[in-house]
Amino acid sequence: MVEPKLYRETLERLKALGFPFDLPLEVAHYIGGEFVPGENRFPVVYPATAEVIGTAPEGRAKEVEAAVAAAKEAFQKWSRLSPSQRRPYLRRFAEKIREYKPVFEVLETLDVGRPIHENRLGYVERMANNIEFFADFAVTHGSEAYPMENGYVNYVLRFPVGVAALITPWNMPSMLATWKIGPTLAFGNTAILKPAEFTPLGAWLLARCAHEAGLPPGVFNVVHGFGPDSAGELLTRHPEVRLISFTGETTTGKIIMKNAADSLKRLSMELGGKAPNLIFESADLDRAVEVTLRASFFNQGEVCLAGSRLLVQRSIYEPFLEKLVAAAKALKVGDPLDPETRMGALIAEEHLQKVMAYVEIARETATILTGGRRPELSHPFDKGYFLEPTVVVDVKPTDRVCQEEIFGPMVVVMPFDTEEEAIALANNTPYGLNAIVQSRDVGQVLRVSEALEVGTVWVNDWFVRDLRVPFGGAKQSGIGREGGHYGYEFYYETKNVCIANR
Amino acid sequence: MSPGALALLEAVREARATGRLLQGGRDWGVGLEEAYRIQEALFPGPLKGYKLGLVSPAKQQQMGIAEPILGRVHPEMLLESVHLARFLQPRAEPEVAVVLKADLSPGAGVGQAHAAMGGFFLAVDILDSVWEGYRFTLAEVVADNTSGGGFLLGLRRLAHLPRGSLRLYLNGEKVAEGPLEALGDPGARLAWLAERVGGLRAGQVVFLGSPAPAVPLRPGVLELWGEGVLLLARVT
Repeated sequence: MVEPKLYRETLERLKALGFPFDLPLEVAHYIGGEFVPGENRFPVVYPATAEVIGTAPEGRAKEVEAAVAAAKEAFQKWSRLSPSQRRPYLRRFAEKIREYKPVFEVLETLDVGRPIHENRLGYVERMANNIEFFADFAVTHGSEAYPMENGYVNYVLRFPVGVAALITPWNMPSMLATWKIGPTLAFGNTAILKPAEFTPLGAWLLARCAHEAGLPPGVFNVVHGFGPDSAGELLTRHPEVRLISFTGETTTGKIIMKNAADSLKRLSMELGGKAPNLIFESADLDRAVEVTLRASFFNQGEVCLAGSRLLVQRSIYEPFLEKLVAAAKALKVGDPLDPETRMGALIAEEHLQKVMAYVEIARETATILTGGRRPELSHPFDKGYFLEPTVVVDVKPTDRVCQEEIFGPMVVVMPFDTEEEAIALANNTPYGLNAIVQSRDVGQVLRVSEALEVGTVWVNDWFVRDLRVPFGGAKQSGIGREGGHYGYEFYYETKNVCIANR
Repeated sequence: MSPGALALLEAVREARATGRLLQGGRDWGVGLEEAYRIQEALFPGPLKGYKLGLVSPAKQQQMGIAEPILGRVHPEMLLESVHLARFLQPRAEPEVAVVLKADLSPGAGVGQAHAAMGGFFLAVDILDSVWEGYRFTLAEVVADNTSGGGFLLGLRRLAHLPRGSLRLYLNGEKVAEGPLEALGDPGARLAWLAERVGGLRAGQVVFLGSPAPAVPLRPGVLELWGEGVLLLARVT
């Protein structure tokens, strides 16, 4: 249960930074422009200490009905505003996010257990930009026209779809919420955000930002709760919800698609990954290690885009591994609020157990070069869900640890000899979200990028996001693309108008 | 007071009132004791406590002195957040403060001083000086309340002086770090201070000085870490 001293200190951090809600942390829904305390409260746990730092309400039929009704009502007016009329609201929303930057930085760490250092690398600015970008994009982007040779001209019109359910995961909750909120609202839809039950705090503050920015009631709503038999499932089944943008596990994505089929909803699904990180002998070795360290252990490896399968050309296999292991060992694991910390805690006890199960598989079937243990930390972090950065070698491509998404600070390493072999290994999983190619051979970069069956290839870097470009997964990693005009197919209805010249 | 002392007093008073900075480094013909009398005249009680400055032998040597200097802390100098507009040229130093649980008479020994300590808190000293660029003589800084500006206090009371080092961050970037042992024995400091100011009272707080150089402030988040304890404040 709560250790009052720790609890007080956690809150002290928030209060000192201008946290806008009363304490203790009693998260509320945000429905129709009002904060609703809700019912069926469940604990909010800080992953780094396992302490209960607050409670959140579970939304059920009552809250989901109210939110859908509010969003539907608001859609009547919001959808009829022009993009340039919507833009000032969204700019104020973005400004509010910036205003609460220090609070978001702490909240995100309390939600996720991620080092605050990572929240300070432009995270909150990107959140604000995710909203601002689409507000501008909706204003400035044009449409297509198709003149015909026989006296007709076609032109394409786009119009808002309706109420969107935005279902977000716990690993980058505030970032991923704003990725979806931006285009949803800018393109004239109204939104109901259902954050993951592990991470309700950021969504709570986002609602506050929307509120203070003066968004019309019902345009943006937040309903907390779980997936199955709870707010998540109710939203995915609700006939008045027209769009579902979901980021999360592939198995959950499949269930959502089944639920959504009855009312023929639009779906955008960004699902799991098992990204290959191909390191060729021409790569700049130090750069490759630095990129690999980030791609492996950023956010404790709890990133769908994590480069969790390292494919290393045999000629540099030993020196690369030596440097990588040294760098992994040097990562400071511990108190996520300490600015020096470089790796924090996993999201929850059950998730740590899941990742540890893969560690045990690796211990039996492969070799753990470093990590694989829970670090020895002093009170109160001895109770947190920490795991050392873990590097596993001597694996076969068909091993479970090479095929399944682990979603933790554990990577597997495989050597290869030729480019063809590397491509075959890279494509040899059910997933196809993204890949990393590290090479200084431009011809090779072009050939390999073309051959990879993925939605995104990053060359000599990782997780660089331009909001204009398509983002999404191939194979079992998703359906649809978001970003720039690629989101049109999802966030807009499209209408062709064909006019005769007589 | 000597004519030089009166001139110094008037210069500091006017600078504090108008916010106009002064060029330091003048010879006012004012000694240390007279400088303290100027300080007392400009910054009269009631006091919440005192701050120590120049606690390291190196800094003392630089200023040609063999002991720390002290400044007077008023209740309104204890802050919860920092508004830069309220200061002339604010800088921050990582510190530790001690709170007294018993009176300490002049002449009290180090042992008595230790017995009077009620606990330690992380603290940030927000320095402010009327002397442009913090270029001043000993008399000038003492007359200006030892660059007294404001103070932030941590919320967690520690039974002992924290160990290790103090780390000060501004917007996540480390701007100052120093070993706590550089602060010396707090008992000896308090005994010296009690002698110097004619006694300390229970409930007073004494800022023990900084083990690191002062850094300029910018808007954002100020964070001080010492032995796993954190002080956090917003700077606007």
